Amino acid sequence: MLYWITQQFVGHIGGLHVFSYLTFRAILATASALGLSLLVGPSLIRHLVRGQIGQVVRDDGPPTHLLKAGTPTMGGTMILVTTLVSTLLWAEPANRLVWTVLGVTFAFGLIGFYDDYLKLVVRDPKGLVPRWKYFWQSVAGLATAATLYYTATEPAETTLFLPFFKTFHAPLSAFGFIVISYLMIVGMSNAVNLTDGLDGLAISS
Amino acid sequence: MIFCASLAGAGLGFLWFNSYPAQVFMGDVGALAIGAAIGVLAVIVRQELVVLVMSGVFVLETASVILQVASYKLTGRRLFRMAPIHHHFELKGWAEPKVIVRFWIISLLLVLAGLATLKLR
Repeated sequence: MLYWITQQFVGHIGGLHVFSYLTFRAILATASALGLSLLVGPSLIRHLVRGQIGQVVRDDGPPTHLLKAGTPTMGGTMILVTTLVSTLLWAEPANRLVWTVLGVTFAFGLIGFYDDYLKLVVRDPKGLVPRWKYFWQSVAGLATAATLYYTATEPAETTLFLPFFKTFHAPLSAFGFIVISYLMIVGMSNAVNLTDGLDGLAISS
Repeated sequence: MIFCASLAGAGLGFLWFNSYPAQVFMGDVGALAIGAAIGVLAVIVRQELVVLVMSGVFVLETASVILQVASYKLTGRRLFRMAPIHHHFELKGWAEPKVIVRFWIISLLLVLAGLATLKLR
């Protein structure tokens, strides 16, 4: 948004052209998302604690983890909201990939939110039944893969590249591209979810 | 690019509160969304394999669960004391922050290795 606004005044007000630089906006995007998180974090945590949105710790996990019962969860909403605000502020609105990435991130966020909601607010310890969780993940994953394939403007966007082999490139069929993309998106999503078991492990790996 | 930078900033802001001992967890809402974002970014930059190397910690954690379940079903024996593998190290007596920081180090090395593959071709 700010990118668009500043572009209207380039040439009229000196110095605004720095907003054209991707690296400059990237630094501002990191800073604004970080600043916003630090700003809203404490009140969000207070709010979650008061709402008793505490994590249900697996009762078959390591004994030391039983002490963690009561730590509020769903802090991921803060990550999503600050990322959204910061992206909207600094990204170039005409870039379709920005909207694709935001869309898929929020679709999976919504699935996770519903799962957390069932566990914590409705107090159903099973949460979203795994079958349905995978079903919705697959819907979102396939939709994204298809969108990426059919909105691609250059053949390079749907070609398979390998590390170390500079000359290797295999143009992918619609089926091949969608299968690989689907596996990447849904696979990584579940992988991060499994890793999210120790404080600060998932977010920084 | 701007999305990545925003996510990095938001992630650091979250880590501020999530670092050991955590005041807040991300929950499925955060984990599923971040994973999907990494996956779709890998597809967009057309470097799926390199991203799998860089995200090696996530891949290994998932592999540990798959191997554990497969081993238990096939032979009745567990490969690890507990899966995902970070619990295995905890049960071996490593303190939680130690597991976390050692995994970060592995992650950092894998990211550097992944970046190196982009140059070595």
